[in-house]
Amino acid sequence: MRERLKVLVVYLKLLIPYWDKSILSLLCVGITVLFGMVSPLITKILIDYAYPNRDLYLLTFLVLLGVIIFLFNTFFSSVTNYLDIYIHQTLSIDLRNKFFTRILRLPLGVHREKQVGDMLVRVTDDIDVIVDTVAETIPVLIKTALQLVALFIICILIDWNLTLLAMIGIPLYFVQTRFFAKRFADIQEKAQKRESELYTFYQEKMSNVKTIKSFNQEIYETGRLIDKLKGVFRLIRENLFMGMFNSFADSAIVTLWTSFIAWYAGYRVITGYISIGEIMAILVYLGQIHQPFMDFGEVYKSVVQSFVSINRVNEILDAEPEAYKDIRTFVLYYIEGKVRFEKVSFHYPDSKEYILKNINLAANPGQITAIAGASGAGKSTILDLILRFIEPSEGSIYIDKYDLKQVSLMTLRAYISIVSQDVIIFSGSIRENLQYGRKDVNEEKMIQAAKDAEIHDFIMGLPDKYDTQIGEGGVGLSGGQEQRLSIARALYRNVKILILDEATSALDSVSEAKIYENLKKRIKDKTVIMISHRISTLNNADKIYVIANNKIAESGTFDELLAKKHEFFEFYQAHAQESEEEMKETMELLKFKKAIAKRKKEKTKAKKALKLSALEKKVLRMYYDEKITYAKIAKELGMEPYDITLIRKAAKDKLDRLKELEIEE
Amino acid sequence: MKNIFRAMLEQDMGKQAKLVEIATLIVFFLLLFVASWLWQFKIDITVPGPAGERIVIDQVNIFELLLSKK
Repeated sequence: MRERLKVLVVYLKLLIPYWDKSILSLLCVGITVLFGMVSPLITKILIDYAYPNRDLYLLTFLVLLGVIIFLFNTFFSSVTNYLDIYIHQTLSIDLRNKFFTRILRLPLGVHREKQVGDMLVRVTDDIDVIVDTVAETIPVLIKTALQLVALFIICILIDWNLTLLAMIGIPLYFVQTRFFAKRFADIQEKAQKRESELYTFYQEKMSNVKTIKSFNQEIYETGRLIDKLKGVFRLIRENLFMGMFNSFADSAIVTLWTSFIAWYAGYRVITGYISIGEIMAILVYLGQIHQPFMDFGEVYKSVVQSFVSINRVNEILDAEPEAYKDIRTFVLYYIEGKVRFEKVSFHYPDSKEYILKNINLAANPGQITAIAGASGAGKSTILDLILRFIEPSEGSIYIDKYDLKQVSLMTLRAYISIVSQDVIIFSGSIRENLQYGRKDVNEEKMIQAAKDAEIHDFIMGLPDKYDTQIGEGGVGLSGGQEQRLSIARALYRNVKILILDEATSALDSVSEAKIYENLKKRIKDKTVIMISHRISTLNNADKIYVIANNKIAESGTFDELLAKKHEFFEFYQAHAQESEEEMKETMELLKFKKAIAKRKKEKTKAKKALKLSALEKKVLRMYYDEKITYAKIAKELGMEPYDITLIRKAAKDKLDRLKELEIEE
Repeated sequence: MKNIFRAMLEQDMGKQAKLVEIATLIVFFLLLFVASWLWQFKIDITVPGPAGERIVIDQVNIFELLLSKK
């Protein structure tokens, strides 16, 4: 009972922001209830006074009064409807906004526990039930209570004897309503759970259609869906049968009760205690009592059912969000980007098994630091720790000199960009996707980021270029193109720490090498941490940490680790047995690298050949900077003016060629 | 009619709700005014006399009449 009262207080609190509209709506409800009471009284006066006395004046007056009441009643009912819908809609927006914001702020652990389908049911169905209860059911409850009180008072005024007898049926009605309400609440709880399972099922299957098709499991999955739907259908039937029993009990009680009252009222008229007009009015009122009681029963049941939904929504709203943990934290204004793990261990709170044990590593600015290891070794956990999606069980992680625990979460993540294997591309234009997470727009930098991610040429080939719509209803992108776009988005953010989690797994080795070539030019003051199990990717790293058996087995450069012939060597050998196609790719990669090296060599040679002699430099300086004529230069250097013109021309040609080479680079 | 409907739809919901509140309060005061006038307005309750004329037997306001017992 106390629990339910608490929930009612929560409901009333939800109405506080709309207190003015709620009060006005309540006032309008009160007026319409009073107007609803007047018609039977007018009928009573017509029967008892106007008709027997042939009073045309009274008849006209009462009809005019009826019209006025009708006009006022229509106005106040419309206002009630308008205000109720206004409160309903704004409350729905407010509550969904609050809920969605909280979901996004919850730690990843909570998201891992809850299934997506379950969250969807909470944000849609459960919130709908709460909003319906607060904005519609509670006003109906108040209206019903007002109607009952008004009916009771008027009936007492007409005939207290008959009214008190009529009240005897009320407790019986309440007992049966309470009996059914509890059962309806149980069914509601089971139904919401089943709905959540169903949503999760849809979400899971629809995002894994490829796997289902590849395993030929279409018929099996359809069968599973039908089983689940049968479960929901069973609950709907349970609800239906319970409703039928409830409706029968309702009707039986109300019919027996009103029949008895009708008989007793007739007896009172026949024996001369009340007039015909009064009995007509009282019978109309008793007929009206039936509806508020039925409404009250329905409303009571939906309020009890909504307790299930409010508990489910409150579970999320009351969960502790990430940012609240940030007490006395540093706001990072500037960082160099050095990341350091000191004796870091991690295990999930509900397990004693360590995912990582005693990890020491450092990732420095200007370097690419790689983390290698077999699947499930804990590589991605390291990234989750850096981003503070999870907290270390033991040890500390530092960013420059600051312990991550003491750093404001918002500012920490503002300095980190992550490109993960599961690329998320939002529906919208390419431009919107590239600018995601950045408030300022710099077209030039955005294009440069796209060029560095080797996606610019592809974008320029699209009909609307950077404004081409992608995602749902737009141009479809391949896995590789999505990864490039995701890399471009991270590069455009231009942050201090760039995390690449198998970021180039869908790219061929040549494209990957090109991207890393571009990346190396950009990372002079940036820390790059990457995870990969591709040898070609790891070859780009300045330092590699190899994780095995939940700890760092060894570290060093690519060549050092191969020379050690330990874990990494084994890892290398295992991956070296590549398919023919991969070998072909590797060969292409080597060719590409050789071509780059050859071009570099040629350029260096060409640059050497184009080096200016001391005489040429002197001639250029005197001619261009000091603006001295050929004749004077020739005189000063003891040469012929014609020779000076030849030297100047040759030197100018050399300079132009050097410029061209630099541009090519 | 169409224009009024469109104008109502295009109006800002918050401003519209405020206007509705103000209009409701005005109509509420109008209702109070009508009710107070009805309170003061006495209705003649008449019965037909022997020569067909109307004989006033009582003068009551509408509220008294509605809640009266015969």
